[in-house]
Amino acid sequence: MTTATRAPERTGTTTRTAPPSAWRRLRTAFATVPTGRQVPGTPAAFVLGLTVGAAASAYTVHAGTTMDYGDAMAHLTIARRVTDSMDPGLSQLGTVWLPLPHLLLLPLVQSLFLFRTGLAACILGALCLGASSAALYRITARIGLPPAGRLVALAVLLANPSLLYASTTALTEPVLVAALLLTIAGLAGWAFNRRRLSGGELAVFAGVPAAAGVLTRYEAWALVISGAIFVVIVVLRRGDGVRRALALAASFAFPPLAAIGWWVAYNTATYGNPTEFLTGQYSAAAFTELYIEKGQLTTKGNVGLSAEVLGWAMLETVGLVVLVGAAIGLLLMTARQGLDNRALVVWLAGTSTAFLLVSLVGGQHIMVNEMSLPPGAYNNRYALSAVPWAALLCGYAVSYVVPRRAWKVGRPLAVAVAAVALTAQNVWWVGDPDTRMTVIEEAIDGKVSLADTVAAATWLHEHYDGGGILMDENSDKMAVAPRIGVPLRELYYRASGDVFEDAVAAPEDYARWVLMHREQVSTGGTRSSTDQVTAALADDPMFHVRYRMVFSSGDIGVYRRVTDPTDPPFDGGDIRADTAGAVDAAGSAS
Amino acid sequence: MSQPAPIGQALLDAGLVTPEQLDAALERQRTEGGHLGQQLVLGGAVSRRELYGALAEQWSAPLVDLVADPPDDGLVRRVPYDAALREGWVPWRPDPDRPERVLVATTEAPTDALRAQVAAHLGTRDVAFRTTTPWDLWKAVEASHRADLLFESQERLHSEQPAASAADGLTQWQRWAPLGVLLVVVGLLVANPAETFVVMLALANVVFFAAVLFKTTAALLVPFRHRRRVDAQWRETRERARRGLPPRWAVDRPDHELPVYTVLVPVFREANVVQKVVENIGSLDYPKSKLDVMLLMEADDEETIAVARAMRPPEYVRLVVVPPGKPQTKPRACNYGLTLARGEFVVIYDAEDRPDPDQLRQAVAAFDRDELMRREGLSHEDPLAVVQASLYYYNADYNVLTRMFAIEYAHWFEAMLPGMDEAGLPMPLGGTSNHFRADVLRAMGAWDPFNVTEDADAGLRAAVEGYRVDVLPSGTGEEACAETFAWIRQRTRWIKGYLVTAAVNTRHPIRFSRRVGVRGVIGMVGLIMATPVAFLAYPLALGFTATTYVGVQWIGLDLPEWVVGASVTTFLFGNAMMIVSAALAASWRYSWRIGGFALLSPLYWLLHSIAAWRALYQTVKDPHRWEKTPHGLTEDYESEHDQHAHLVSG
Repeated sequence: MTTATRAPERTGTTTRTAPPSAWRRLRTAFATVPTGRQVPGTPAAFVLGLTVGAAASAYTVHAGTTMDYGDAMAHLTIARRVTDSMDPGLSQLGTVWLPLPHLLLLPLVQSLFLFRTGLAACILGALCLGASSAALYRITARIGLPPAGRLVALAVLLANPSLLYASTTALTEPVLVAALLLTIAGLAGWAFNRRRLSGGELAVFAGVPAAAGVLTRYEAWALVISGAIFVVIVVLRRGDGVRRALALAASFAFPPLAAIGWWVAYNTATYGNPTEFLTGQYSAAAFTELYIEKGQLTTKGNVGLSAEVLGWAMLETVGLVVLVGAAIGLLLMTARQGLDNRALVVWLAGTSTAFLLVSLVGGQHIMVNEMSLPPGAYNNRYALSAVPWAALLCGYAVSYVVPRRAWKVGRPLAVAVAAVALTAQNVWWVGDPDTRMTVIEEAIDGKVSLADTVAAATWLHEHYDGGGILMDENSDKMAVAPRIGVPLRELYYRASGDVFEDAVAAPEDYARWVLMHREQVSTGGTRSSTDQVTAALADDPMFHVRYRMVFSSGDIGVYRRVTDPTDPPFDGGDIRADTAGAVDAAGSAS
Repeated sequence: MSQPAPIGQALLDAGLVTPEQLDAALERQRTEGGHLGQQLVLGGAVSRRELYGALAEQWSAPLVDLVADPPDDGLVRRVPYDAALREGWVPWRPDPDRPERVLVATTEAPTDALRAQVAAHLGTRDVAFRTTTPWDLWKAVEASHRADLLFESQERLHSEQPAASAADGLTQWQRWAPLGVLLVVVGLLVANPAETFVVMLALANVVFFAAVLFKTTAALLVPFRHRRRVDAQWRETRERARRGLPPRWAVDRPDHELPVYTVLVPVFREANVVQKVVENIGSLDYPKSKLDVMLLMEADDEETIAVARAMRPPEYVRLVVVPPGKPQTKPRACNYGLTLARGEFVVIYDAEDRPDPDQLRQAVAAFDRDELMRREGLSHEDPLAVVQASLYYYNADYNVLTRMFAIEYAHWFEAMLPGMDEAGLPMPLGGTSNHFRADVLRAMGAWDPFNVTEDADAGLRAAVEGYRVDVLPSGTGEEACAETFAWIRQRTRWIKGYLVTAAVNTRHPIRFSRRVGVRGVIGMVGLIMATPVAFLAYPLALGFTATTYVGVQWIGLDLPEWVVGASVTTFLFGNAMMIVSAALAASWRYSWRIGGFALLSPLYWLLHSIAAWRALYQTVKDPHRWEKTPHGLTEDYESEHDQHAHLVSG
């Protein structure tokens, strides 16, 4: 038996060659331009992405930052409550966000441990990063980038600390980036296959990832349009005629349109309104409405400001070095290839950025950073969807920045320069991530903002001895169910259905615990963010007779029922209070 | 070196063959058996006419051309066509010089035995022999016995076993039953819509559950079958050791003991693929002198006939033009070929089929082993009538449809059929690569020319007649239909065949049950009936789900919890089971790249449903209509096994 490293053996008069080593196979794979379905090197790229994702997860889990974003905890909760709730079912997906990330998290959060620690999100994020890497690699291979370009493209993707951080949380960006890249990889595979692939294959390899995308974020809806246009152009350039072009574009668009159809049907069936996700009380529109009323949606109708805000978000998430590289790549690509099919593939990756700009101008999205009015840090992570585009352009730049006659020496040199520049960029970022990386800045803001609620939830997790918990999880800063870490069927919250209102009306009949704002706050993002439990109970003297506050942190209090003799004695030790409040004998805050 | 036979010497002396050609033919005769002359013709050393010219001199029987000088029809018809073909002679005409003497054209040496055979049929020993070629003989018999051959091909089964033939189509009650059911349902829906809906939904669930249960159970039995076979092999090995025999039974006959094997290749309007027949069949590892290949072409298919003739096939391939007749179906063509077959075994291949090279040898070994086991009292199973090779697609990843088709075939041949075999259920055969004992096939009435899935029907009929069908561990590569509408037409025919087969067998349900027993009834209901019914019901169930999902709040339907729960469970669980088992089978047969497409099965089943509703319509209106599947749509495409890439040039 030959081994990977053994020299060729001679057997009789014939020479038997030892199989090439894994390294050699990988080098060969990275140097091939695929013309069939298989792209050598894809598994290696997947494993690389997965490994980097796992390492990032290990770091953030150790640092305890996986759930700093309130939205991350909300996503985990939505995923789990589909199966673990007083009113389980698909209707628990709600309409605040598109459903796929929750459905992908669903099997993972069945483990209370993975749910409570946020590891479920880390697993999904690492898998998405693996898929993104594999897809990005396939695109670079399809458009014929040499090994240097492929490596740099992967490096740009996998060395982006904001994306890596997002991949360790339950935010939707990892899923979106993976879906976008898989869609473009499918389109590139279809366009550059030596055999003309069928509409069915186009639907499966590009349309299905696009369907995943449209059920993840609205950026992918735009990619469906640009992807369909790409298909039409490619087919027309082949000379296959308009009819064939439209048929293939329809094949590509069918899965995402079917997915949208399902989503509309879901909204109709669950809420009686097919556009509930657009117009309902929990929709993004309802959220932006509040900003408009406050006069804080200044990007709406303002192209210049929108471009500035988006540009700044890209600068802080994609990085100056990468953006410069991408600009060079864009110039080179346009000069060398114009708008040929390979260039169009790269342009497809810019769809989400264009969509963001349009939606900022149209007032559909809110993005806040140092360029916005007023300044702050909010939703800048949306710019992460530009990382794949920048990665492809950087890969292109490294591939062709040196003239052909100098490729042999110039390309390794270009890779080295890119590596140094990326390292320098990251070193600079790491020097002060709180202010230089807006994605991290927002996480820290979230952590500070949620500190009191998280403290209360953590305390409740440690002292929980059974019984129902009444809370308004939808209200401001209360999306902390994973931190409580108990089965969600113990929670009386809005997602529990009518029983929530019953529990609010007569909490002592349902809940041993109540977690609420001690006083009503009005800083929430939407009208629906009012704490309904606080509204009903905070000023109810009977509530304070029946319940005693056993923990408080800031404006958040944890209350325990004292009137039910069947409740076990509370052995939570001393009733603690935070520095801001005190607890009197009756349990009410003074 | 062995001494040349007289015919060899004669041809050598005449300068028609070289010593090297003669030696080569003698060597092949030593290993394969057969006539030396046949080996010389197969080896291309001498033409058929040259050989028989030399034999004519040796036999002192002048060579006659039966095509240019056809025999007397009346005389020929005095000898049954099968006897004439088997014994190799045909009465030509009365001797013009002595009218009481009959001139007999023969392809065999005119020995006393031959004289006796002639006397037995013609009642006279006053004969004189002429020499003719086997090709002339066959053409002469075919021309004179055309009516007999056509009767055998299209009428015999219906004539002798009308209950087993689909010729009469549906009975009156079968024809009107669907309409009656529809009327009853509509009536009940009008009278009591809610309860009728619940009952219908419950029934649909039962049907769906039964179909899934049947298929899942069959698939789950495969590991047990494997285990049982391994155990049996161990027991056999131990027993052989105890008796001092080699550990494994030598299954292969030496070449010279192999029987003549007839290969039927029906083609219709397939001029584009007919040229592949010689290449594909020629790659079989079986002595060419023992091969009797017939390319069966319809008389009105002039293009295919022209292409086939132009390709000048080798000696072991016969170009058979099936005379016009009704119904013009594949089984009718195959029956026609069967009447002319010389083989002990018969197999059907499509023109583009690529059987494993040793498939014929494996089939012979399977029959030999069955015979040995029963002769030695080691097996009490029914005698083996047919073995079915596994079919797979060599263009599996051509497009999504071919992938789905490949998954379905993998599930069928790698899971379903072995599982049904394990359960002792009668098995419907696949369209090709089913190897029959020719005598058994003739005895059971051959294929039903009026049944559009004659393969499935033949397998069930074999079971009814007390024979066994087994699965052969050998594969045949086929071309999957790559066009949606062609696929729907093909599937319409298949599902219609199931419906017709079910209808034929249930004309007298009680009589059928008694004949086939419990297992036969399970096979008939669980597969032949449930498959089309499930596909007919599938869009209704899907539509119902969609309607209730979105519109339940408007239509005001209040379904009982148990109905909803059972429906959801059956639907989800059933689909999941089918998808998982199909994915596993396809991954095993092909790769995960194909198996993963099993997730699209629910969409694929919608295509089945379209075909099923077409089939139901055709079953009532036009049960014998044969919608031909076009071949060669994917040209020479083969699945991508290797990475296709080229190095970056710069």
